[in-house]
Amino acid sequence: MWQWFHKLGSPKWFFGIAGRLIPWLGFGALILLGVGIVWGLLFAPADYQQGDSYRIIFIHVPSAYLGQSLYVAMAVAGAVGLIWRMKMADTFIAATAPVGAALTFVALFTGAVWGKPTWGTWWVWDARLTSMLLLFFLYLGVMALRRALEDPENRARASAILTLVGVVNIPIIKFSVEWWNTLHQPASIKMTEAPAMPASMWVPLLICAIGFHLLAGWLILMRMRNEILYRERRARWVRDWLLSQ
Amino acid sequence: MQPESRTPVTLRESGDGLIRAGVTTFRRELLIAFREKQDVINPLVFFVLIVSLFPLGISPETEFLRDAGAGIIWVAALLAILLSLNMLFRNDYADGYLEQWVLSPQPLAMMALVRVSAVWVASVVPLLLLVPLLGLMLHLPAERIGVLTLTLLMGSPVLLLIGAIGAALTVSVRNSGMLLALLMTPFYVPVLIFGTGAVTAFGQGASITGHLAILGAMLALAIVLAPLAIAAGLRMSVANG
Amino acid sequence: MGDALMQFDSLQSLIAMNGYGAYVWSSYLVFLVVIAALVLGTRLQYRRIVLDQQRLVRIESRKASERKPQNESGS
Repeated sequence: MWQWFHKLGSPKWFFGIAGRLIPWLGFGALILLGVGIVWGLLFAPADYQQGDSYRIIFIHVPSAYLGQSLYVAMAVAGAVGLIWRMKMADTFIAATAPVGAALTFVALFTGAVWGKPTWGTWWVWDARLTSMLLLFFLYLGVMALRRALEDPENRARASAILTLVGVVNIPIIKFSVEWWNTLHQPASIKMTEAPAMPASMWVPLLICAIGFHLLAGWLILMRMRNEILYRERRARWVRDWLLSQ
Repeated sequence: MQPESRTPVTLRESGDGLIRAGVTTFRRELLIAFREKQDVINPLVFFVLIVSLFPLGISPETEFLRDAGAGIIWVAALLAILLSLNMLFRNDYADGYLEQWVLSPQPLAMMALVRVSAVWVASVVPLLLLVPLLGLMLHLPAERIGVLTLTLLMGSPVLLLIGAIGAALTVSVRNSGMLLALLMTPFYVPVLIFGTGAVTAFGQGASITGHLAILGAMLALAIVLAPLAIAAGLRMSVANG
Repeated sequence: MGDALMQFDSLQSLIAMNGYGAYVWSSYLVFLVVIAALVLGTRLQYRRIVLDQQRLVRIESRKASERKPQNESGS
């Protein structure tokens, strides 16, 4: 276990492993997303309440879920980076922030578009949409902070601290937004999701969700490899690798 | 912080040292605020200006202002604190004082807490003193102004403590004002929600103890956790600025 | 899945989605565009780093071999 952990800290080892994993993740994502989306769009039955508009669920829910879990993953990496001074942790944060922000944006956009036929308006100050919006700003904050700090060591520690502060605050933000929402919209309409969903709907949703995870993993590993190449550009093995390309 | 083994005597002395360092820091902050009056006055003027924009921009009707007044004052106070954050450690970073401060043997988190409290007394309390006046201008009933001031009294230290984390992380960044606003605003949302929520509930005749309890919990949490993050941020910024 | 039959009998009805076509398809389109932008950005990042560093390594090794011509073979 610890040996594995130490290996994970070695950019060279990680670069090699990531290079071998990337094609598998990419293919897996392509196949699963292809199957899941085609199934969801063409074969899954229409919802008895929302008709065909619910088909947005197959991209909305996975991207919302990943948008949230990627931030938590960044905070875990931040803690690992602060405690064990592991260089790869910051590589992960650097690679994940844009992916998480993009998926959160997809969740927001699809949520708003789904809201139009469901609620009759593009934007509702619904608890979930509002907290996703704030999550989006948290991602933008991490990215802006990284861009503003020039020293790599500083950048690593600052984004680790910020993501940790963020992860402590996310439950508080969610709780407060939900509380505020019940206050202002006593009878808010809920999106019909998991409860009583037939298998013909949740199976493609599950396939899409797994596909989204593979897609995010694929993108993050590719970006991490880029980061490693740039950071270790003075290292012998990177020079050899570059000349062999 | 000292590696050598301690006798009870040095322990007592270091305890004294912490108190003395705390008092010195506190007094220094107040003195600086007193000398650099402009840094205290500017956010106050900004606060009043923001509030006065709402009647001009939306409606001067008594009814609207009475309903929206508490929210307007809360948002304006939040913005005034947010936009003065980049001054929190700026001058001390520039003249090297911050470096000495980080290297001092006293626990940095405690000192950070003392310092933020001093800043709160020096620059946020004057802001709170203006709240009753602005409340009258927005036609808020007197009791509601009282509740509003109470929520700001509990909420503004949270805003300052959370904001100080961002200020500590970005001291080395030039023109950090906009960056800080972007970083910190999402964290301000819960405080804003419960602060204004209390005033709204009071206006509807509901009990506000729940709101105040949650605001108090946030304050306690911020007092315990934020200094640790501020200290970590300052150490980082000083170590390789 | 016994009930997993094709839900739409023609391309038109698939595009229309019983009136919800604009919402559903715009969502999927935005998803595609965002992912495509991410992939493209990642590829560009990669190309920029690799090309820059390759050029740098070549320049440096050329300089090194010019300075020490007897060492030409190993660099």
